[in-house]
Amino acid sequence: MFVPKKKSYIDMSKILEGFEGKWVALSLKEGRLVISGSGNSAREAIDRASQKGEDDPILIKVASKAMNYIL
Amino acid sequence: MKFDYKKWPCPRSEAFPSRTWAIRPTVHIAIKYQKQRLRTLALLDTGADYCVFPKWMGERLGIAIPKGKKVKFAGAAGGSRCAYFHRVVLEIGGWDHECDVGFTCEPDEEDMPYGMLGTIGFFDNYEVNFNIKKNTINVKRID
Repeated sequence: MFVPKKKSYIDMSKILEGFEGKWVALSLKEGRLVISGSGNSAREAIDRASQKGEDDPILIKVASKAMNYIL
Repeated sequence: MKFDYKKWPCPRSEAFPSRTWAIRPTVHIAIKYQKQRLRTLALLDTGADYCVFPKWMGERLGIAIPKGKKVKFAGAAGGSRCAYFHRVVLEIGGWDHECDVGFTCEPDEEDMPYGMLGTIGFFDNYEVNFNIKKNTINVKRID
């Protein structure tokens, strides 16, 4: 069974913990993803990111509960 | 362009009771439509026929989603869903290309946080090398 090395992947489960159901604006900083803004709407997340100097964030809507996917 | 895999949360299951995460090849991209641009994440899905994104992304780009051309599709677990296709520009790894992508007809109760890049529109334009053990996804434009 393949077990990944600790810390070898960008861990979205840690980055997005506590943001379930929210819109999140992410920034890429030195290869790491960090939250630059969040809110109950895309606009709110983007505005908060902009206040922190991030004018081109990566926007996602975090699922309110984690799911398994077979696509 | 080199990308990393990402660990996403997933619920414990009877089959995998200790597993609370899944490693998925998700990459940052931008979708451009007219003067709008949305940076977001997308799953590289070699089994998907098309590129499909959640409804909210189309709305965010100002696209009149139901005015697009409709496609019905099913996932591996069955079920039937639909998407309306529109011409957009996908920006991946610094490259731009025009293609038709779908935006889902209705939002799910549990929307995926990212879209999916499939064969038509993505894999027919890019050479992709996956190496999960080295944690690398190399994406190169096919000339």
